[in-house]
Amino acid sequence: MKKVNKHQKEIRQLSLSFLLMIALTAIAFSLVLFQLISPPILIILLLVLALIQIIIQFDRFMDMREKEGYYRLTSLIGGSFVALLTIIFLILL
Amino acid sequence: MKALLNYFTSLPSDILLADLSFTILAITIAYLLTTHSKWNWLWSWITSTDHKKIGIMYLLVSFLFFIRAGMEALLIRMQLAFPNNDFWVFQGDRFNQLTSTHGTVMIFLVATPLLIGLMNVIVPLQIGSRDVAFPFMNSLSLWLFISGGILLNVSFVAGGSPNAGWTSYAPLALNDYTPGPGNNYYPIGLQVAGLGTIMGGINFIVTILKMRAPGMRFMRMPLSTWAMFITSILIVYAFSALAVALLLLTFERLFGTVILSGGEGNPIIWQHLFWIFGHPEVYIIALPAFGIFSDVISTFSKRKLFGYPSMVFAIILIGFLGFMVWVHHMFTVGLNTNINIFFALTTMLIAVPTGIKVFNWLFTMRGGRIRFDTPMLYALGFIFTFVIGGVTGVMLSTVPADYQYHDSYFVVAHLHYVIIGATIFGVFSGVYYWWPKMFGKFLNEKLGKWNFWTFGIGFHFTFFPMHIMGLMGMPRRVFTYPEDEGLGFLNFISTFGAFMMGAGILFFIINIYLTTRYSKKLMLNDPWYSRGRTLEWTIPSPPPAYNFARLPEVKSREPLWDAYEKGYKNIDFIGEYEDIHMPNSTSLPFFIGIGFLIASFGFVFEIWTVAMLGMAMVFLLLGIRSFQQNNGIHIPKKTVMAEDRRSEE
Amino acid sequence: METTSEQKQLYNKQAQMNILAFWFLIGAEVVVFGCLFGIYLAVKTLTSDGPGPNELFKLNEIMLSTVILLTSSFTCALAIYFLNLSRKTWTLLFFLITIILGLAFVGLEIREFTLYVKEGATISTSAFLGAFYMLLGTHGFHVLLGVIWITLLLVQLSLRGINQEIAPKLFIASLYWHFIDVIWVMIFTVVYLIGKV
Repeated sequence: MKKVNKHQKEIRQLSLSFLLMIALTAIAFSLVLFQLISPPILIILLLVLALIQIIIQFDRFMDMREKEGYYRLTSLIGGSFVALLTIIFLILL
Repeated sequence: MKALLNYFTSLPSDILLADLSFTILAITIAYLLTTHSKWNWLWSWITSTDHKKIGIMYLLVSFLFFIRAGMEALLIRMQLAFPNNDFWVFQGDRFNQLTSTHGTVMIFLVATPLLIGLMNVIVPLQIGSRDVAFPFMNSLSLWLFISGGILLNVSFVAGGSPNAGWTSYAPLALNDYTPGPGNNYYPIGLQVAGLGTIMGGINFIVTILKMRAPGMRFMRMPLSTWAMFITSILIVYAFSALAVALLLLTFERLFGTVILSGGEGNPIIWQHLFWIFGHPEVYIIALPAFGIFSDVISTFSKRKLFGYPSMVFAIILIGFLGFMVWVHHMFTVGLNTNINIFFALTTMLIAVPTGIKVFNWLFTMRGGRIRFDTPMLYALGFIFTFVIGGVTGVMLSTVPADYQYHDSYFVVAHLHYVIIGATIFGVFSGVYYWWPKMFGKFLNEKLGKWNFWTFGIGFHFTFFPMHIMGLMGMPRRVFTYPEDEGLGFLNFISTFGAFMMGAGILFFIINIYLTTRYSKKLMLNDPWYSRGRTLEWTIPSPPPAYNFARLPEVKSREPLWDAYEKGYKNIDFIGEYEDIHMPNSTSLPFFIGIGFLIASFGFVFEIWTVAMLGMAMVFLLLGIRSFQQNNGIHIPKKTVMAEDRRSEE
Repeated sequence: METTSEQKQLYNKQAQMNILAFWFLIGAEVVVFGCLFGIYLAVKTLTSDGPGPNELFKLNEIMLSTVILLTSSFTCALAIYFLNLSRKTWTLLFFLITIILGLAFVGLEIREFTLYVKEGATISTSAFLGAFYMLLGTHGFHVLLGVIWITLLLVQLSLRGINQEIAPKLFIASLYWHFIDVIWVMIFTVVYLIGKV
C-alpha cells in the first residue's frame, strides 16, 4: 500500500515539473511577444528562465541525484566551463 | 590498356613512386600472409577486443604513419638543405602539401594514438583490471582512427593532399583559394579519426573511475594512470570543440556557407575553435608522457616517486589551465590588448606546475641507484630537451616578443622541442620499458642505446639551429630562401640532423626485427632487475588474456615494491579463482570503419550517393550491434588455475 | 528517485558504467553545442543582404514546436517511470508518443526551413543564416537520430520484454532525449526569443 503511494507521489512530481516548464516557457514567450520590459533586462530575464528550466530537466528528468551524481556533475561542469569560455571569446570577437 | 598506360606515364614522378611502392608493399604483405597461412591470425587480431592487442595495433599503425610523416620531414629538409634549391618536385604547392600533411599526420595520427595505444595496454594492468570498460568501443575507436588515417594518407595519390598547413586556417583553406578535393580530406579525415578519439577518451575515463582493483584509491593510482585519466577528460572536451570546427570547415567547403569567409563572415572564428582544441591537444600528447617518465624514473632510480601528491596536483592543474591559454597562438591576430595580456599570464602560469614536475623528477633521482637503460636514457633526454622547449615557450608567451617570433622558425623549433621532447621520447621510453610486458622479450639494449644517441643527438642538430634561423628572420612554411641571408649553413646542419634522426629510427626497426626473430622469451613477471613497483609487474609477461588470474588487493601506492621490502616475491592476491567473463571478438568495428571510409570518400569528392551508401552501412551495422545479445565467453576456473600455477613455477 | 531491489537488478555494474559513459558523452555534447552557439552569436549581426533574425522568425510556430518537444520530454520521463515498474505496455505506449512527438517536431522544423529558403534565406545567403542552419540543423539531426534509436529499442522491447539488457539502453536513450530538450530550451531562448528582442 505504501509503495503505491510513493509511485503516485513520483508521478505527481513529474507532472508538476512538466507544468512548471510549460509555464516558464509561456512566460518567456509572452515577455517577448508583448515587449513588457526593455531589452537589456529582458535578455537577462530570459536567460534566467531558461536556466531554471534546464535545472528542472536535469534534476527531475535525468536523475542527477542518483548515487555517483558527483561524477555526472563533474562531466557537466567541465563541459559547461569549456563551452562558456568558447562562447565568451567568440562573442568578444 | 593503352589509356591506363597513358594515365600512369602522365603522373608526376613522386606520385608514381608512391603508387608503385605501395602496390609492391601490399603484394608482398599479401604474399607473405598467404605463404605462411597467416590470414586467420590477422583476422583474429582485427576482430580482437583484448585491450592489449588493440593497444599493440594502435602502436603499430601509428608507427607506420610515423614513418610516412618522417619521410616527408626528410623530403622537406632535403628541399631546404641549400639556398635556392630545386629538389625533385617539392617546390611551391607540392612543398605546401608536404608540410601540411607532415604536421597533420604527426599530431593527429602519430602523437595522439601512439600514447593512446601504449596506455591502452598499460592502464588496465596498472589498475588491476581484466579489461577496459567498453571493449567493443575500444575496438571501434581503433578502426575509426585507422579509417581516418588511411583517408589522410591516401590524399597524396588521390586528388592531392591538404595544402593549407596543419592548422588549415581560413580563408586559405576555403574553396576560393584552395579548390578541389585536396583540402576536403582534412576536415573529413580528421572528423572520423577524432570521433574514435572521443570514444577512446570516454572509455578510459569510465575504466579508471569504475574498474580499479579493490583498495586502489585515487591517490594510490600510478602516475601513468593519473596522467591518462586527466588526458581523457581533456580529450572529451577538446576533441568536441575540434569536431565543431571541422564541421564548420566541411560546411564551408561543401555546402557553401560563408561563416569563415573574409567578406561576409569572420575567419578568426576558425582560429578560435581550432586553438580551443589545439592547445589542450598539446597537453593531451604531453601528459601521458609525463606519466610514463614518472614511472620510468622511479623504477630505474630504485626510489619512491618524490612528491606524489604534488605530481598529481600538477597534472590536474596543467589540464585545467590547458583550456585557458589558447589565444597565445593568436597574439598577432589583433585582438584586444587585455585579452592578450590575460592569455599571456595564464600561459606563464602553466610553467609553474610543469616546473614542479621537473623538480620532482630530479629529486626522485637524487640519491637513487640509477641504472641507465634505454627507457631511463630517454627519460633523462626528455628532461634536458623539454626544459629547453619550456623556456622558449615562456619566451613566446611574452606578447610583444611574440610579434617577432610569430610564424618564424623559432616557433617550429619550439614546438618540435616540446612535442618530440615529451611525446616521442616518452613513447620510446614507454615502449622500451613495457616491451617485455607486452611481448615477453627484452628489446636489445645495445641497439637501444644506438637508437637513443643517434635519435637524440640528431634531434638537437635538426632543431637547435632552427631557433637561430627564426631569430634571423626565416619564416616557416617557405620552400626556399635566398643565398645572401646567411641561412644556408644552419639549414644544412638541420638537414644533416634530420637524417641522423632517421638513422635512429632505423636502429629501432632493426632492433624490433632482430629481437622478435632471435631472442628468447623470458618467463619473468618483473624483468627490470626486480625493481617493479606497480601492479603490471605482478603478472606474467606477456599477461594472459584476462590479465589477473585472481584480483589483487591494493594496500599502498607501490604494492609490489612494498611486498619486496617485506621479503615477499609478489603481492597478495585476495580474489578467489573463478570463471572469468571475457568479451567476444567482433568484426563489426572493422566494417563500421570501412563504412566510414566509403562515406568519407563520397564526401571528399562530393559524390553524394557514395556518401549516403557509406553512412547507411554505418547505421545498419550500428543497428545490428544494438540487436546483438552479446554474452561474451567464459574462461573456466580450471584453465585459469592451471595457467596461474604454470606461470608461478 | 530511490532505487528498489527490482530496479537494482535491472541496472547491473556494466549498465552503471554505460550510464556513466553516457554522461561524459553529454559533457562532450555540451561543448559541441556551446561551440555552435558561440559561432552563432559571433556572426549574428553579419546578415549581408539577407534577412536578420527579427524579420525572419515567426514566434507562433516556434511556440508550437517548443510545446511539442517539452511534452515529448515529459512522456519520455513517464515511459522510464513505467519501465522501472516493469510495465511493458505502458513503457511502449509512452515511448511511442515520444517518438511521434519527436517526428512532429522534425516535420515542423523542415517546414520552417523550406519556408525560409523560399523567402530567399538560404544557407549561403549570409554568415548569420549559415550559423543558424548549422546550429538548428545539428539539433534537428540529433532529434532524428533519437527517434531512430528509440524505434530500434522499442522493437527489441516488444520482442524480448523488459530485461537487464534493454532497461539500461532505454534509460540512456531517455537521457539523450532530455538532453536534446535542454538544448532546445537554450535554442528557443537564445536564437528565437533574444533574436526577436
